[in-house]
Amino acid sequence: MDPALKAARMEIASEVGADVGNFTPPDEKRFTGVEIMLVVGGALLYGFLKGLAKKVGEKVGEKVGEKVGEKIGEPLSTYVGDKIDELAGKDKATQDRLLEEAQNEAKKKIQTAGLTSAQVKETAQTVETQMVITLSAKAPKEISVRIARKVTSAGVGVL
Amino acid sequence: MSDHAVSQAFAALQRLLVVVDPDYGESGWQVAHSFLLLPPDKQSANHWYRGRGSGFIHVDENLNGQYVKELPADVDPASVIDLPPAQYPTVLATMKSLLPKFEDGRRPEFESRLNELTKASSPTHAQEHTRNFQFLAQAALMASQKTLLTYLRKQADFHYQTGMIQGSVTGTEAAAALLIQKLAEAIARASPAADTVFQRLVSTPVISMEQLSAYMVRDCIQNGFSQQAYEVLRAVLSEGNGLVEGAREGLHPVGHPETMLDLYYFGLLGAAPYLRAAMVGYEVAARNPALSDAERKTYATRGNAAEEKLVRVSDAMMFAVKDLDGSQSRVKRAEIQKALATGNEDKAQGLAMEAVDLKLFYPKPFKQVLLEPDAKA
Repeated sequence: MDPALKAARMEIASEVGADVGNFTPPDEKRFTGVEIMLVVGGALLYGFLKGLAKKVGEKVGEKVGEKVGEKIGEPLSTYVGDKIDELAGKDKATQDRLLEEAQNEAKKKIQTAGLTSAQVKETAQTVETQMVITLSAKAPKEISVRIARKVTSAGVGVL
Repeated sequence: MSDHAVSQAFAALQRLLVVVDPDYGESGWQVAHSFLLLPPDKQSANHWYRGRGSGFIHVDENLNGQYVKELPADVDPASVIDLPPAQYPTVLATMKSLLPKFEDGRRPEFESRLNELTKASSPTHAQEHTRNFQFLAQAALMASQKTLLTYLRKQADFHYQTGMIQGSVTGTEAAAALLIQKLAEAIARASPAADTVFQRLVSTPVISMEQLSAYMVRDCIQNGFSQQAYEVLRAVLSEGNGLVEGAREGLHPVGHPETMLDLYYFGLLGAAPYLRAAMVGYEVAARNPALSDAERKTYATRGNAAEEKLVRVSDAMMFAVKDLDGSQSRVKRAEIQKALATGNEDKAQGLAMEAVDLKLFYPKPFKQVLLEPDAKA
């Protein structure tokens, strides 16, 4: 796995840290360890990269709903949330592979669209805003904002 | 042992007792010592342990511990490990043993704190303390609602600051005083009809401050102040989370990095009552029959997240006691350095993350101390 991708996942997992209880079922007391934290970190990174790829695709005129698994008219925040949940349920090897695929997909789309780094950052901001909406369904706003900010900075770093 | 070292040890033990309450701190202290009495093969991964009071804890192959109320059907009850009774000297006895080591001029201050902590640890303390609180609240309310609010504000300040420092109140009581005061302010602003809630606050028979605060959340919701109650809980949780994040920055006076850890643990201690208040408040709020399923789940999650963070904060207080001589830090650092030396950077990063970000044992700047080969712990 790309070391930068691994580092980004670790960085996000660290940011979630002791706030992980917001993202686990309330009827269970979890004293989560590193392995689970990496799943959470990876899932958030995956949600960001997929969301970014989708947004960049829209910028170059890719029609929403053309790809398998995309729903027409689905808000980006819902899409990002679905992608986070999608990765969280996978085994580690599959997660690693899907993360790399998402990284490559996002890179390729940026390249195809010919986006400048400033434009990438601007698009990333849009995804960050949507991620805040997604995370706020589970965690308090200030925690969602803090984590989404870290996901964005770590995510942009792997592109 | 220098006077400074004795003060540090005394303060660490006091934090352990007041972060939640003396029973909780003492129970954790005894369990930690009991665990060390187990043979090494039973201190390792993949075991089930009987929980404190109720439930079971599973420690998996990655040393993640998970608490469950019921033992899963596929686990042989005979395989569950019971911790042997440690009968280790109590936290209070350990604190008492430190007193002769203080310089003469400073000893009375610590003696006084120990006396207060001993009273706060007595079985009758919670009810007597609450009865006094209610009695004076009733007198204040008889004067006016404004007098009551002034009384509650002073009580919240006392509980959260002087009381916890002196050892005369517990973190749980400070949490309750804060929650009661903030709810009172919010509903008094909203409506003069708040009097019904205030009457119940001063007259409902309860066994503890925590029960009183829980009843007040319930009474607010039942008397048309749901919105105010939820806003107070949101603010209380936000304050607790913010205090934890602030402490984690590891700030210290210029030129005095040696104070970083003490300030860090003190900062975490300050967050604990807010987290406890959020935990209790959201647990009650989640039972409001008027909520939708989604709202109920959100509030239950908030309460659970606050509780989990508080558990980490209180575990950090236990860690601080164990690490007074720096031995725990040296072991952790050696483990991380060993992983780095064998090229296992993922493991090293994971261990550092676990200690700093997940278990909250250290403030953020310590991550580099753990990871850098030539850093000084």
